[in-house]
Amino acid sequence: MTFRHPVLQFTARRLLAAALVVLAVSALTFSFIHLAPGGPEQTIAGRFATPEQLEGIRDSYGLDDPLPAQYADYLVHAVRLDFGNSISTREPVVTAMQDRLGVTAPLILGSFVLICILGTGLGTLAAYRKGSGLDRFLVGVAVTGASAPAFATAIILVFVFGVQLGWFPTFGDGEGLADRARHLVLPVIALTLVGVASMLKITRARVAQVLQEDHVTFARARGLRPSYIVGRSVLRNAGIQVVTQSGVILLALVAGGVLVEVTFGLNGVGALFIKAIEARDIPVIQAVSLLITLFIVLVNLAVDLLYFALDPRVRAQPAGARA
Amino acid sequence: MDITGGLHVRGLNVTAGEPPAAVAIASGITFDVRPGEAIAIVGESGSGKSLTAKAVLDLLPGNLRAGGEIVYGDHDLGQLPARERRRLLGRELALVMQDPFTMLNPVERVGAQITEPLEDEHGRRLDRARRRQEAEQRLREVGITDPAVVERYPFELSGGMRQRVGIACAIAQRPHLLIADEPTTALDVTTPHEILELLGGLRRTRDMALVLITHDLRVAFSVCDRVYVMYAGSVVEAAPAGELSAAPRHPYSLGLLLADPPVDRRVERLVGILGSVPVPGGRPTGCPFAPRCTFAQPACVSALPELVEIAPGHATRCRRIDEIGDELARRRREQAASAVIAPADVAPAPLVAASGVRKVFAARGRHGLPTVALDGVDVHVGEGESVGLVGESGSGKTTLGRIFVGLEHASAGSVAIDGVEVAGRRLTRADREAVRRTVQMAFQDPYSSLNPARTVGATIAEAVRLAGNDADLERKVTALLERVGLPAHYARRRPAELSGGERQRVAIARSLARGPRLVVCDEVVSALDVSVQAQILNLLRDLREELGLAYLFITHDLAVVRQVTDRVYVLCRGEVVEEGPTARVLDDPLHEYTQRLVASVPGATEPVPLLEDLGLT
Amino acid sequence: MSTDITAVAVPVPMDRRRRWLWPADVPVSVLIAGMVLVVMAACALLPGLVAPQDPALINPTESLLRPGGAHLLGTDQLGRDVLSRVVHGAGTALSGPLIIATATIVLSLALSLVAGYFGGWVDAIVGRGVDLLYSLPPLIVAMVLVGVFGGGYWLAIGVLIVLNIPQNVRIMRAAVIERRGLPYIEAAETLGVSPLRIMVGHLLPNIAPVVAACFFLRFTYGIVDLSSLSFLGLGVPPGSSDWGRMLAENRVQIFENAWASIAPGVALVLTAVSANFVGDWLYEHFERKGRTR
Repeated sequence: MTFRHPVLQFTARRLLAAALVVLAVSALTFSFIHLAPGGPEQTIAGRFATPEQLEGIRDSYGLDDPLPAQYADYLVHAVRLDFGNSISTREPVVTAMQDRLGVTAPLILGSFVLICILGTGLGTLAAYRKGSGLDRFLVGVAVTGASAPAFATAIILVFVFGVQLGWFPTFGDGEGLADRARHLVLPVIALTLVGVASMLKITRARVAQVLQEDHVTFARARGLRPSYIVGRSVLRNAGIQVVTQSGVILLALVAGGVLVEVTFGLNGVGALFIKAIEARDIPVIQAVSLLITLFIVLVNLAVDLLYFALDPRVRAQPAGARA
Repeated sequence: MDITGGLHVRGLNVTAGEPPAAVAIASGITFDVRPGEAIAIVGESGSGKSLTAKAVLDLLPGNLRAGGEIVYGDHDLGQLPARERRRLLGRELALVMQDPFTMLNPVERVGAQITEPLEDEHGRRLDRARRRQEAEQRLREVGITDPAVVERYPFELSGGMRQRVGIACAIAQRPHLLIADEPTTALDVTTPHEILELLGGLRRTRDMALVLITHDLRVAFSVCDRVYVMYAGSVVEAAPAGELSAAPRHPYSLGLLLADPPVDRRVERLVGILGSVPVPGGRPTGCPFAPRCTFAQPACVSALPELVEIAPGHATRCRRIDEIGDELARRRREQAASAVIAPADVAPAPLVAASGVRKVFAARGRHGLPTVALDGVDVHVGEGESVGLVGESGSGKTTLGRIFVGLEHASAGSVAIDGVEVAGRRLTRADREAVRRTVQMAFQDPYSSLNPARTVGATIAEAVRLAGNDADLERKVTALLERVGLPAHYARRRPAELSGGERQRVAIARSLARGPRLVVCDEVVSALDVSVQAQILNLLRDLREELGLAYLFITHDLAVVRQVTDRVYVLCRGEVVEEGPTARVLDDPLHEYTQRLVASVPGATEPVPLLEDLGLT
Repeated sequence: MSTDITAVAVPVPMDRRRRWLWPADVPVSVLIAGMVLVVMAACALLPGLVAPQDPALINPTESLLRPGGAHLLGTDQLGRDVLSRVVHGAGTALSGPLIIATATIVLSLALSLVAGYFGGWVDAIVGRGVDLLYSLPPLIVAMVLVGVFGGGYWLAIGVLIVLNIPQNVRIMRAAVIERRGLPYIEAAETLGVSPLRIMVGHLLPNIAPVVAACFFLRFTYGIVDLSSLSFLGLGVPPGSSDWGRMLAENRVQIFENAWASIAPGVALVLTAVSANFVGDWLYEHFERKGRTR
């Protein structure tokens, strides 16, 4: 049995499934938008439009074509990265999204990296000291962080570090690289606090579980180096579930990111999305939801592949045979 | 390093929790292992034997503490800095654990696991080629000649192979003392024998001392020179193996010997030990065995007796040994010589019969193949007959039992339950009821055979109600409990408050509630301690006599089969390879597979030495 | 063969029944969390008794007062008493999550019992559905759907119920399957107990602690998700005394009366954290018991 063969097979199958999911979700959102009360023309023209104005809009946007035809048209443009212009700003949607990603990507990825480092590090520490004061403290902080909504954490941070201490700006993007970075400090902390908890908890639970397993005791009994025991006996085995969880966390950061962007007045994709919803800006809504779908699918694919790489038992039977 | 001294443990204590509320798990453990010697530490579950081993190696779980003196060579291990003590592990002292399925790192290849601690002459890690070469070499030492195993992950190997790999890992750095903690308990019938031979062989060729921790006296006698018997956290007797077997000097040791069913003959009645092992924290003051000891006197419960040497190399913790020593020896002799009682040779009317039964399990996953569990099996059980079904795991023995009670359905062939054909058709309600009235089942694991959320009474009452008669429920529940030897007030208890043996009694009572004529006993005693096992086997014999029950006794244990069955089927890979009267099959096996089974029982070929043979009379 | 270690870990408790109902070793943090939940429930049920003033009373002359005097937590831009509005917000804050938690748990439990007990194709269908939905993060999907359809409270609740089912089914189904093959279930089958009775009478009582823990966790995340939506203007209509909404509306005046936005935030965090503490402890407590059997 060669190693590459099943991996390639697995990846190909997953990619195909991912493409299908993206297609299905985009079709769903497309039809939802077009079936929503009032129809898109009402949205575009506003509440007080005359029937003639509505008719004109229907005509120019091709809204009288059958829905599948409209969707096909949308798809043809979408694969060329043409999502049309924003209704409220007249700016091409793709340009708007590119600009906003400059804020959102550092926010989400920066928080995610921090979450991974802090969560796994502190989680392992807590598991090794299970039952100690340090462990109870870390778990307490984790549970609190996990159950506080992102915007509530954000507002408390604004109050303490922005209003009371005045250390960091509380609102907006900032100008220039350094100032922009300064504006991202509190948002990244807020988002990290929300996500780090579940990373810490899953790491702690898994490491504590693996520490009880026979093979760790056996490795100790053989006098193996502590670095081997922590790295290959404990973390390698615990890591399989931690990786799965990290995908879920990364996806939760998308929703958290929207909230944090709105709270801190950052002009990210999330804020763009909320504004588009308020303005019923259909091209933007469609493009952002497609972006989110794509992100969800890609993260899940990455997690599956990592899972595959980490666990030889999954590699041996890739066909969903695991119960 | 001076290894001439061996290992000497003096007054070792293991406690759980912090001092004011600390609970003693093991106390005053003393034993010696001379270089190259093999000793056994024997005890039932809860005796503290495994934790004693862990304490020696400094591997106790975080909530446990060890005290006392552990000397290895010229080192007092307790005084050694943690770092230096760790350096002894693997290099001088090594451990093999019980469960080969959990002992190896599941995500690392076998070769890498074996060679991880190896260094070259300059203390550097070996290069790739050397590691590969060493790994193959080490595997050959433990009897694995296929070099491809180096590249395998543990989950790709069988239990016996994994245990060999585990041993190869443990001895990779050529330690001088190996502690093997129940190394064969989790293995299938024929493999323990091979693993024990391997350990014995390694001990001789490597001049390595061996500490074998086991619950099985027969295993201990087959490998070890000296035996320490532990009970409830104390060593109660220490003796040379032959002497202990022939003339035990502690009532508990005698109890263990008498309770262990012999494989070579049927004894009239097994002698169980009353009650069960006390949990740590619930142990009596004084002699821990006193509450279960038939020789106990008031003096026994006042203080813990000392371990006293009564002959060279033979010590006991029984204060009455001078008075009862002769009686112990007499009882042992009596049992060793007890006559074989051949079961009556009758041909009763068939109650259940399987003929040409096939069972195929669908493939798991897309790449898996369907498994053939049973391949054309003919088995029948007559009215009131006790029939054994013997084989290794995967032989299909449990599947057949489950088909009789309707938990599985035969893929082909015919299964008749009291004349009702149940294979290959949809049963009517009446048919199903008829089957349930005829056959019931008792299961292996006493810890999960009862619903933990229900009282014993509720569990049995449900079964009684299904028998169709609600009147006098409480009286019927009480009657069933009494039938299996439990007092009526047990009805109010939950399973967590019962010992393993008591749970198994309740499970048997439940299976009797519908008044079946056949009970399928699936490994009912294999999870129990030997002293409790004897009680349950006696109970099953009594029930058969009183109620005229038939049994289908599914087990891997030939000694158990010998004690309770009249006739036996030997299953191998889904086929019956041999059948016949139990005594004939075990004494004079015809099929090669049966011969291997019989030969793999530890101590089967060595008769119990009598005192005269040892020149000790 | 049970090892010596388990024998150490479980010194068999003498009275199991008492532990079953109310485990004696409740940590202080969980007691406090429980009390917070009780207080919040009181606010939700009888806001008129707890709140000092009418939450809707507009008083432009007392706009944006700092805490003190007649207004313990000050007033908002319209001069409404912040404390009263927070107390009255408890009703909305608790009812939505309660509906989500109850519906999700009931549906998940039914699916888990049926799929886990019967196995086979029933389980395969449930499993596929769960896998498909599992990769969808509930909150972001709710944002998209509610955003596209316009601010519907019930749509948000519906989406959150459906998308939270997979996680719970995974946990509960695993708990069912773990017990499904155990001898006490098979013994009941052999005796002729009906499938429904096995599911309800034998399986359910044994997974009840898992179900309870899931309920509290779902409740926690219900609070988080719903308040997040209303913070974004996607949940409840503007003007109602919903905590998320209040926080969003008063955020701009954080330099005048910070408490107008901090207080609902603190109330949210306290409630959610308390529910999580209780659920978390239940789960760990059960886990411990489950492991040692």
